[in-house]
Amino acid sequence: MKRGNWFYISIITATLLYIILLNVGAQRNEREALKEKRIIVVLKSVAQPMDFWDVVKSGMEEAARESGITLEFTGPAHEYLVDEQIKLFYEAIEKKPDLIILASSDFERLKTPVSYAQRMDIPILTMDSSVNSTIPIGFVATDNVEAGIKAGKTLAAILDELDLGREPNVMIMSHSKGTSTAIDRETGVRIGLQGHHILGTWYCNIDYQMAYDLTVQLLEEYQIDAIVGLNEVSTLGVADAVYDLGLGRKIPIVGFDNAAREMAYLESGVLSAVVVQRPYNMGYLSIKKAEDFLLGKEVEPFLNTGSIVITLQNMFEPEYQEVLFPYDKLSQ
Amino acid sequence: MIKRILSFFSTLESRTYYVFTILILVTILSTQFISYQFTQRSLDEVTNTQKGYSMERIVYQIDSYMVTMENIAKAVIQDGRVQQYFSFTEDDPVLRSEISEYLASFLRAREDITTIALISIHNREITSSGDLTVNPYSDIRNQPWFTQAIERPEKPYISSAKVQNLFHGIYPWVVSMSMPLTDHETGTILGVLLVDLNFNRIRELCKPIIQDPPEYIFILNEHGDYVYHPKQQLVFSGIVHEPTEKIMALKDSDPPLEILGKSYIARTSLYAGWKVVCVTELYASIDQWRYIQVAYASIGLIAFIVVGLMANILSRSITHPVKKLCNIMQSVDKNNFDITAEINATEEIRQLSDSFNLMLKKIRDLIEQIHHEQESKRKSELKALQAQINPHFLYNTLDSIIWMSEMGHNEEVVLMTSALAKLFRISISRGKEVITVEEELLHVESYLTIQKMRYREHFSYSIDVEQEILKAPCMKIVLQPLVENSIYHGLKNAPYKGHISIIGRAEEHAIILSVKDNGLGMDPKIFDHLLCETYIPTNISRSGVGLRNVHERVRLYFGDAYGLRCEKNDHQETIISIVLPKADTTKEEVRV
Repeated sequence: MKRGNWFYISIITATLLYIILLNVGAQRNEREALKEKRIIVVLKSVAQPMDFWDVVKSGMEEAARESGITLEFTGPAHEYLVDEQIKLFYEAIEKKPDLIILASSDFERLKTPVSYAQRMDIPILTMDSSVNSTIPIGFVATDNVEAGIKAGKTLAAILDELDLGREPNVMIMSHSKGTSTAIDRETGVRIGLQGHHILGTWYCNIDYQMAYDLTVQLLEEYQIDAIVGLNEVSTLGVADAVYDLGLGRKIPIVGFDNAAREMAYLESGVLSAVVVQRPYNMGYLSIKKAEDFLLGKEVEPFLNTGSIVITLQNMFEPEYQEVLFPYDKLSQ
Repeated sequence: MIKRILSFFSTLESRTYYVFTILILVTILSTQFISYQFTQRSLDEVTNTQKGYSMERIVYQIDSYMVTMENIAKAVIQDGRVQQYFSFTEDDPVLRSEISEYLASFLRAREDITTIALISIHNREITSSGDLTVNPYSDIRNQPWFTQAIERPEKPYISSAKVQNLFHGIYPWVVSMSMPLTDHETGTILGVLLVDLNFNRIRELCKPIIQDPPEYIFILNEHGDYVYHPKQQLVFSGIVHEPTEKIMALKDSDPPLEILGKSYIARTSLYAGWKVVCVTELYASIDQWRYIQVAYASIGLIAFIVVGLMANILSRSITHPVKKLCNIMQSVDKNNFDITAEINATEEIRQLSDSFNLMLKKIRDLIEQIHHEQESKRKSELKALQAQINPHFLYNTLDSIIWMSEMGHNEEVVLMTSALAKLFRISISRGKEVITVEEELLHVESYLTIQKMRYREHFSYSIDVEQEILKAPCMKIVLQPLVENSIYHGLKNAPYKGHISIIGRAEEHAIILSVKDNGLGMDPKIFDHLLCETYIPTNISRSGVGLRNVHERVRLYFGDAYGLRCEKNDHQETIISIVLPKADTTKEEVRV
């Protein structure tokens, strides 16, 4: 052994020892690595309490509490404020987080901001509704085509049971022309209703009043036998119009989402069924996925968080009641 | 590659080093592991005890809520107005609103109660919210809280956390307690009393206390169904799994259940029969762990360096004496046996060196023995050579004495006999090999006296020796053969009267004794031939044997530098000289 060799070997062995010892708590170190990371979540809307996004947020917060990662939420006051979301997205990039989670308000218009984020080396994970781009590392959402098919099939079954003796006319009330959720759900509904006549699709642009007015107008113009509302606002607009015209329980309506008023309509039978997403899971899993990516693990490009068909029969089942009636926010 | 690795282990030092390094590494790792386990366990015990306490507090709170609800329920049932209202089969609107107001007063006093309702078996309902009508879309008399209360009147029914749909469009999260409303007098069941507890109160209780490592609390009812789970949706969609069966089997006094990196502590509420479960992720919850690791790694580093030094010293203490011994052995290679290995080392090495020393001594003794044997062999050879000189001369001289006695030359007989006596005395000299030059001269003179008488003055002689060398050592009977040679080969047949001179002188390092004669002489080439080692004596030249004899004896005794020399001077006289060492340079061990 050359003179002094043992000295270097000693240092190398000591370093090795240190590394081995550190790895005893490897799991903890993963947690510690995540503690230093920061994610900015750009949502579609943040201001309204107790809605879909609130539940998404609590799912995200629970995941972040488990891992210790830092979360920051931002988003416009309303879903239709696309320009505001784009502005907030650029602001998020300027803050240089480790990752941005985006629930895009517009399939096309968020494309440019996302490629800018790529240039700035900030990975993007989309959730709920995506962007027309291949840049995002993944997409966590309800498979909206699948959810649409469920809605369509449920309505098809109801119509079959009604047996009008003629070809029923189905009207679709969509919330937006540009959002991927609306596009996918409509596609799904049309698949699910195959064999039934679909009168057409109308757009309310995420405006309750417009949905209401359109429905009233259309009910006068056409012989409509069933209606599908593609989101909360359009479903409530349709349901209110039908109820106000005294047609409740006569025209079956299948809607989306789980607003408290929708639940009341479901209980009273104005709504035949609603298809609900799992926003809590969506929020929780999108953070988990973002963490996996930050830890260098393999990330699936799409993660379906699933959807459920809710009717009067199952709405108070223990399994579903928390999906439909989210817990109140506790005082912190 | 394998050879290169093996070469790391080739020296004693590196082997010692690696062995000790591995030993220390293993020791540190195992102590770390054990102490980690130990610290973790004791820390876990502390946190578990603490958790147990806070869980017991939650359970106590839940039970106290339940007891409150039961007390309220009992108070309502006992109330005279309630009994009175439901005993009648007809509706009394005044009493009805009075009771409603009475129920609402409980709600004002206690924020945690959402609703109190009295539902008759058939068609009447009174609620704490007097202005609200009961949900027309819900078959309230088919709800579990109604049917269970009637079926099991002995015990209040307590529901899981659920969404209450008593009123249309209002869906609060509650825990319901229901009791049968029985007639005081007849004991018949008139209806059911429902008390709804705001479930948020229980959720508040179950808020996680510790955030790092993250924990959460969930509740199971006595059937193992969820009363409450903060991640209810994840549980129902199969993303989060809880081992409910094992938890149900868990007693309050049991140590925490540890499954799949999670630890479960459960406490059971005696009143509600619920199991409150606290779940903690099994992270290493020691914050100082990293510092401990750094400390251990530093200790390791120091230990490794010390081991390196120790290995160096240790191996040197072993190899150094071995190297020394090796060097000593190598010097033996160069024919040096006069050494002893004296080495300060461990017992084993010392034994080795001792054995080596013993071996050297044996070798030395053997060499000595061989020397002695050779010596005695040479001595016997010498004796044999000496013995060759004497006989002829003795016979001849004795013949001469006889002859002279017959002739009556008495004086000459005396002279010759005494010379002969001198000759033999010196010849024998008590067996000594070396005598003085003086004695040797006396010997040769006696011989010359005898020969001169035998050859009737046919030659003359002279002796001229420097005084200083008379006491010098000299081999005996060396001059006599030379003189004999001069007489028989130089003078005996010379037509003139010969002369023999014996000259002795000292040179710087040697003594030269010469015999010079003016006889026929001898060719130095023949002389050299005589003395050369391959010469084989023949009977023809007897004198040659004598000269050679002397030469060999001198050389045997004093070494190769000495011996006989032959030269002729300007007068054609032959001089044969004996070269002897001047001082006493004879080898001690060769002395006889």
